[in-house]
Amino acid sequence: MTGTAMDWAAVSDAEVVRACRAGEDAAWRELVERFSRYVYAIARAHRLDESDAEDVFQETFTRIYEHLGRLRDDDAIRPWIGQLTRRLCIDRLRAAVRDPVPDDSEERGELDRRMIAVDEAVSVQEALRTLSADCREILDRFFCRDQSYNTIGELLDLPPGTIASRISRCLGKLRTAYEGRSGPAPASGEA
Amino acid sequence: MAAEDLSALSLTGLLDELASESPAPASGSAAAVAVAMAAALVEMGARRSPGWEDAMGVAAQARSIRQRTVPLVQADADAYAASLAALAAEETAAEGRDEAIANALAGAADVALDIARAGTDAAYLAELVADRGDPSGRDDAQAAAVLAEAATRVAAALVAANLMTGESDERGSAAASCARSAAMVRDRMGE
Repeated sequence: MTGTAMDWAAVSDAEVVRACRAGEDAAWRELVERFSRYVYAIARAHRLDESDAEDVFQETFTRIYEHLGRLRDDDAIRPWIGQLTRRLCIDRLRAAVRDPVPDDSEERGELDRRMIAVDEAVSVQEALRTLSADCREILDRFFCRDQSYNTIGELLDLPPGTIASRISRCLGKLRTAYEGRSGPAPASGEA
Repeated sequence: MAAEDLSALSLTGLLDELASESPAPASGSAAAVAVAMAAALVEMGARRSPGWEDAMGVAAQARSIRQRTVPLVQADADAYAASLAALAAEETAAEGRDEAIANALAGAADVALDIARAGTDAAYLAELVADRGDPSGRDDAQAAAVLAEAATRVAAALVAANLMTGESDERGSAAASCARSAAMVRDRMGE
C-alpha cells in the first residue's frame, strides 16, 4: 500500500482502511472520495438542508479520522460510516432545538418540525429501554445495523419469514411504551 | 462536497443517466431503484391496511428497506466505475493488476449483495402485506414481490459476475440464497 503509483480505485475498502491507519495521506483522500456520496446521501435522506448536510459531511469524516482505530472489522467500514452518519444527523436535528428561534416564519416552521422530530426520537429511545432484551436486539439489528431478515434469522436461529412479524410485534410494544410516555404516537410507519 | 447524488435526480434525470453512453450507472443501480420501488409499494399496502395490527410495523420496516437501498443507487455506480477503472489500468504490473481488479470487483460485489439482501427483505414484506393486509392492496403487493424478485436476481447475478467464483465464495452463496428466497416468495404469491 505504499507504492507511489497506487491505483486506489482498485483497492478494497478494508485495504484503504488499513492504509489510513498506517498514516498514508493518499489513503485518506481515497476514503473521503469513496464514501462522500454515501455520507451525503444519508444526510439528505434525513432531510437535512444543504448547510446541515455539509456540516454532517465534515463532522462525519472528522470523526472517522479520529476514531478509525476503534473499527474492529475493516470490512465493516461502510456500515460503520452509515451508523456514524445517522447519529450525526440526529445530533444535528437536536442542535437545531438549542438554537435561538429565528424570526423568519419559514425557518421557524422548519425548526418546529425538527423539534418535534427530536422530541419523538428522545421518547422512542426512552421507550426502547422498557422493552425486553430480545425485542431490543431484533430492532437494533434491523433498524440500526441494517441486517437482512436472512442474516437475523441465522443469528437468532429463526426462519427468515417470521422475522418481519416478530419485528412488528416488538414495534407494537414499543408503540405502546411510547404512547404511555408521550401521548399520541408518531405518524403511521414511524419506528 | 461531492457531485450531486444519483438518488437526488428527478426520475427523468436518473433515466437519462442510465440511458447515457457512460457505462455507469447500470443494472446494479437500476436494481437498487427497483428494490426501493418495491419497498415503497409494500409500505403503501401496509399503510392502507388499518385493520391489520402489524400494519404500522410492516410500514416502518418497508420504509427502512427503502432508506437503506436508495444510497446504493449511487454506491453501485461508484463501485462499477471503480471496477472499470481497474480493468482499464494497463500501466500496472501484471501481478498487481490482477489483484487490483479482484479487489475492485469484490467491492462491486459487496454493494450488489446489499441490494440483493434488501430485495429479498422487500419480497418477504410484500408477501406479508398480500396475506394479511387489506385485500385492496394485494395486486400492488404482488407487483412489489415481482419487482423485488427481479431486482434480487439481477443483483445476485452481478455478485456472481464480479466475484468470478460463483457460490464457492461466501458472498456468492449468500447472493444466490437471496435470489432463491425471493423467487420462492414470488412463487408462493403467484403471478
